[in-house]
Amino acid sequence: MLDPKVIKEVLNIAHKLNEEENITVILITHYMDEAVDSDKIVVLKQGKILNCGTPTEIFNDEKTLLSAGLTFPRPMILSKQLNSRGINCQVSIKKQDLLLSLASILEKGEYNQQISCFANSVSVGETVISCQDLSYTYNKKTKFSHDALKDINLDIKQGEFIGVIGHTGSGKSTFIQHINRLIEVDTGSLQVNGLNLSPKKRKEKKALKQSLCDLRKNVGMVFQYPENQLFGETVYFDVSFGVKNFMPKTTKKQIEEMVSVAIQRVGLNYEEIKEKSPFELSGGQKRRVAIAGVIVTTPQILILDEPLAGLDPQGKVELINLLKNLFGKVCKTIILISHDMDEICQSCSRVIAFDNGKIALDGKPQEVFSKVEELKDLRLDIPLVSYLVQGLKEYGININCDLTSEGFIDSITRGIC
Amino acid sequence: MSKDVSLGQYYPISSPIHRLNPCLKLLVFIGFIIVAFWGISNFWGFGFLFLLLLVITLVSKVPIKSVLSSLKAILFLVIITALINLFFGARKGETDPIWINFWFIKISRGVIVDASFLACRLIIIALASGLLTLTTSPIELTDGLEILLYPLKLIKIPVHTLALIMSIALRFIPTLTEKTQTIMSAQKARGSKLDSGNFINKIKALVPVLIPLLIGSFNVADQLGDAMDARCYTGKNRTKYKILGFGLRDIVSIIIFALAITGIILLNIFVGKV
Repeated sequence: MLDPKVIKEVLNIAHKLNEEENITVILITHYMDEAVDSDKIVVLKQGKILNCGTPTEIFNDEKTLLSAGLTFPRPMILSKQLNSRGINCQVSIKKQDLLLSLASILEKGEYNQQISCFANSVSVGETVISCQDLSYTYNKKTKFSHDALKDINLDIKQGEFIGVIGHTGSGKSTFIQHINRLIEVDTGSLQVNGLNLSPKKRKEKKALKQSLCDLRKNVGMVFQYPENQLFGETVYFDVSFGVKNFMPKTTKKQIEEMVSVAIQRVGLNYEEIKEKSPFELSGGQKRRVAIAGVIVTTPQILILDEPLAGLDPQGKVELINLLKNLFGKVCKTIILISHDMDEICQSCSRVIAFDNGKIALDGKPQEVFSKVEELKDLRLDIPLVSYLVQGLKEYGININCDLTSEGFIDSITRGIC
Repeated sequence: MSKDVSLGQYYPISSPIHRLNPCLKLLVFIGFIIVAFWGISNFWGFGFLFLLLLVITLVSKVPIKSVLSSLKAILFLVIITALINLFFGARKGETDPIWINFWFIKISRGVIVDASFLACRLIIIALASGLLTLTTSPIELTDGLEILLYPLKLIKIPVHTLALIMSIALRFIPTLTEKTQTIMSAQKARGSKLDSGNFINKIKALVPVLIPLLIGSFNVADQLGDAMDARCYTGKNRTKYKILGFGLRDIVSIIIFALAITGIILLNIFVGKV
C-alpha cells in the first residue's frame, strides 16, 4: 500500500497527462475523494453500469450510489451532517468548496466544543507494552545495513486504541513485529505483558522461549492483506489453525464454539460459510475470515497493519465498526497502522507518528493532527476536519474541537445558536 | 522493507572486473574449468591458477572473505569426493608405491596425488564461479548467456525466451523472499511451529506457508503476463537497454588470460606429470 504522499503524486501525474497532453485517463478507485476530481464517473455493479455522469450528478443520486455499495466523498458526508443540524452550508463534494462555503456563513470568532464525544469509554489501565532505547538494524555489518528503528522509547497502556501513522519505510512495521517477537530485540529493551523480550541472562532466554506461545496468543497480529495468508481447505479449518496451535488441549467442541464466535464477531454467517473454501469468498469476506483467524484466541492486544487497504467503502465502514466492537470487549488494547488519517482521527485515542525509525509525534489525535506543518514534513496527510479548522483560522474563525466530525459539528452549532 | 536487497551474492561495487563484458567473463570461467580439469597435471599449475584467481580477486576489490565464503557450500562435497577417491581410486599400469596398507585400505602415492588434484579442481571451480557471481549481476549474466547461446537460434531453440524466463525468475527472487517472510511471520503469529518444535513439526508447519505462497506466485505471474500483454510484448525484434560493449578493457583481459593459459600449458609440458 502506498502512502498518501505517493498516491497524491501518482494522481497528479495522471491529471497532468490529462490536462497538458490531452490523454484520456481511466482511473479505477475505491476512494470517493479521488473520484471527485474526474470529469465523468461510471458506477459499475455486478458487470452492469448503474450510473454514469459528472461527479456532482453521481454523488447526488443517493439511491444508486448506496445500492452500488459506495459512499459519499468525505466533505459531502460532513456537509450533510451539518445541514441536518441546521447549518446551511453548501453540500460540496470537494473539501475546498466546503471550506469556502463554511467561511462565508460562519461569523468570525471563537467556537468551542462542549460535549465530549469520544467514542472510547474503556478506561486506561496499566502499561502493557514498554520499550526503552529500542533500535533495530537490518543487514547489520554489511554494505546494505539500514537502521529501521532508532532509540524508540514508548509506553502503551491497556485500554488504549492507538493509531500508528508514518510514510512507507518509516519503521512502523518493524516496530510492531517486535511486539510478538517476530523480530528479536537487537538493542534496547522491550517488555510486553510483563514478559521481558530482551533477555540478557541465559535463564531469562530459556523462560522466554517457553512463554513465546503465550505471548503470541495474547498479541494478535493482522498483517497487510491478511487474505493472502489463507491456506485452509475450509474456512473452519483456517480459522481453527490458531486455536489448535496455541491450545492443543482444547476439545473439538470447544474449538467449534470458539470458531463460531470468532466468525460471527467479524460479521459473517458461521453455518453458511464454515464449509466453504476461503478462496471462493469475496475480497472483503476473505479479509474478515483472516481477521477471525487471529481474534479466535481472544488476544488481549490486537495489532493491525493497514487492515483497510484495498477494501471498498462499505467494507471499510464495516471493518472499522468491527474494530470498535472488538475494542474493550475482546481486545483490551488495539494498535492500528493506517494511512487513512480520517479513520485514525475518528477512532483512536492516541496517535503515534513514525519517521525514519523515530517517533516524531505522539499524543491525542487532536494534538497530533493540529500540527499541520510537522505532518507535512513527515509526508503525511491531514484529516478533513483538521483541514477545515486550519483553513477557517485564516478567515478569523477559530474552532476548538477534538477534530472528530462530531466535535466539529458540535462546536459550530453551539457558536451559531 | 529494505532487507534482502541483495540478490544472489552479487557484490555491487565498480571495478575493472565488474565492468568486463559478461560474455567474456563466462568464457573465461569456462576456460578455467577446462584448464583445471584437463590442462593441469602438476601442483605448479594449480598454484599458478590459484595465484591467477587471487590477482583477479584483488583487481575486483571484492573482499577475499566473500570469495572464500563461496567455498562453504561445497566444502562437504570436496571432502567426500576426495575421501572416496583416496580409498577407492587406483592408478593402472604404473609402478605406484603403496604408502599405507591397513586391512582392506591400500593408499598409494599416486592416489593421494589424484585425490588432492580433484579437491583442487573443485575448489578452483567453486572460487571461479563465486568470483563470477560476485562481480556480475544476475541480469548481466543472463544477457551474457543469451549472447553465448545465440548459435542455438539457428536450430530453432528460443534462446531469447529462455533468457527472459531466467531473468524473470531472478527478478522475482527478492519479491518472493519478501512474500515468504510475510507469510511465515503471519503464520508464526498464529502459533505455527516454524521456529520451534522438532523436524517433523517444522515440515508440517511449512504447508500453511507454501499454499499461500503458491497461490500468490500464480497471481503475480498472471499480473505480469497481463502487464506484458498491455505493453504489446511479443519477444520479437527487441533491443537492449544496456548494450554490452566490447572495449579495450576486454581485449586486454583476453590477452592476459590467453597468456596465463599458455603459461600453464607450458609449465605443464616442462615440469611434467607428478
